[in-house]
Amino acid sequence: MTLLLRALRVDSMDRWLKLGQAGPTASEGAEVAGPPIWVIREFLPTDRDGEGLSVFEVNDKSEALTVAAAFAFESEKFEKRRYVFATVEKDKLKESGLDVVCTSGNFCHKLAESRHREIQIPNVRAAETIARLFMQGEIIQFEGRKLAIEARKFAQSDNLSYEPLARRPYSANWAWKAVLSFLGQKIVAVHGVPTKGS
Amino acid sequence: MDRAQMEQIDERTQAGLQALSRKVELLARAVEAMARPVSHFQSETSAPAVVTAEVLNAALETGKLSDLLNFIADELPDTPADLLDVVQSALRDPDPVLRAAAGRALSAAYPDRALELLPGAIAEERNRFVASALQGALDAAFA
Repeated sequence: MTLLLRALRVDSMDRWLKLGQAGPTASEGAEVAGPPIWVIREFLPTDRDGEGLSVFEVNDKSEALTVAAAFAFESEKFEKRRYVFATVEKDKLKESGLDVVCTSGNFCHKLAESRHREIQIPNVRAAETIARLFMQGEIIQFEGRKLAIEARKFAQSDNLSYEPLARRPYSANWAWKAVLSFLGQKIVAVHGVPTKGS
Repeated sequence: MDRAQMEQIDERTQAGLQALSRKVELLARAVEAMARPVSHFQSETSAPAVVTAEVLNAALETGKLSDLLNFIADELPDTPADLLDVVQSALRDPDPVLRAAAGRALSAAYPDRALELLPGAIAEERNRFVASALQGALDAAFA
């Protein structure tokens, strides 16, 4: 089952939790009335999105964890944060006549980068449809403590592309520091190799 | 306004009042539990005590126990044992926001108890979004 993930604003979580109370009967009712405006707002492209709505395509929950950890890796103090994604099955989206295109994101982790997609939103009606579809899907929530373990593995693996991290405007980025120290170890190892003529 | 409407409003008011008094009671117990080890906090460094007092005051002002529990989950894993009782009660509360926050606090502050209690709570949970929040909390307790 291919799922599309959309990162939710954590400050809207309480509202989402109240929405989940409703169950299938009320979501049928919601279909008639249309999703609340704050839900639609979650699925409108912002400045951080490109042309369309930025989402990630994953095949299972472990891939969702990798994407979440890539988000975390790029932010500071993420151990005290949680990452929440609304999900929708890709087929359901396509059935509604909405296009999903592959685009490059700007993520430091290669898997997250390769799974970046954009949902094309031609008009307000499409935005409403997307909001409704995501509302009927599940939510996946990851706690920062779990992501910390996954993200630290990134610094020791070759799955990172360092360029997006290097372009981050803030200097105190712990992730970038972790990468630098990792690269530093590699450079030390290279220095240890005897050069020609010595 | 006819009689049926009056009765409906009356019923809703009663339910609202009950929910409010339940939360105030839980909040009062949380504050009591957290107020006790203040000397413990102060003896180590002064910073945690200040943060705790600030958050307690904020929780008291807004009356939102869920904010307090989310704060515990994010910032304060060293919570007094007395608070476990409050967290467990909150896990069974009708308010979905409070149940989710209780799951997170349980996982952060009492991971052993979380491993025992959360699987049952997830199985019984009717709210699918709360269930996923609790699942996230359970996963973090394993981590």
